[in-house]
Amino acid sequence: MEAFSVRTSRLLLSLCVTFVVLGLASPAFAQEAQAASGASAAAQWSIITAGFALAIAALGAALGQGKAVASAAEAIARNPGAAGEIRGALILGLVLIESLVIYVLLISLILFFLNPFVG
Amino acid sequence: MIARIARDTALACLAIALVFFLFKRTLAAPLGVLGGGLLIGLSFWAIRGTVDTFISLQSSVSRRSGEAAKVDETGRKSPRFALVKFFTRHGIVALAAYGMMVRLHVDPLGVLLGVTSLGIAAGVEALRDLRWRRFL
Repeated sequence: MEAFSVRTSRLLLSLCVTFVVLGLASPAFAQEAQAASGASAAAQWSIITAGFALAIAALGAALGQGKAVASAAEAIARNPGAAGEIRGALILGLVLIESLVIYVLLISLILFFLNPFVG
Repeated sequence: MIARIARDTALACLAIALVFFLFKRTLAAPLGVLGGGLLIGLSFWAIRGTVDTFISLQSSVSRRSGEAAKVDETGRKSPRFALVKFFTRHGIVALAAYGMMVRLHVDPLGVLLGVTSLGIAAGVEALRDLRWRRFL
């Protein structure tokens, strides 16, 4: 069990490092083109921020939705007669969590493609 | 409850589209609101279908009836098929958002307002439930 958790934590750490490196690499490659076009540094930072915002939103929503589904499954297993009501509450909760991710997706799309900081 | 919230979401989306059109006086504004409503509707549809499939699977497995065997034989309600549908629908949501915002150039603020229509409908439902409980 301990070996499993150490391996899992190493895997998570390496994934985080990979995301950070990939997140920093693309703006670094794009830096020359940005400088050539005379765009401001705010545009680059907005793109980095959008990527991180989307990642954090997806992580938070995944955790929240996982917890909601686990609780609902446990509740249905305890009381199968209340499955209809639990189903309704579960769907509503999942869709509300999902709507927050869609907000972040839209903001990220705005920052990626319709960037207001790029003149 | 879910059907009522879906209906309220559609009504809220239409109302917001009308108000936003009166505010902006351009066609892109209400189209953006309706696009946001479409996005949240697609997401709603995806989640509802998946939850329904998994709950029916869970109950059919726990019952161990002949119907469960039928479901397994046809394979239409297998968890794998449900997951494929779920992720395909979310891919459609992402593509629709990209197409609306980048290709069709609808109003981004309108799209955000359209997505908010579900929150408004859920709030209205919560208020309705609260008021109903007070008089019980």
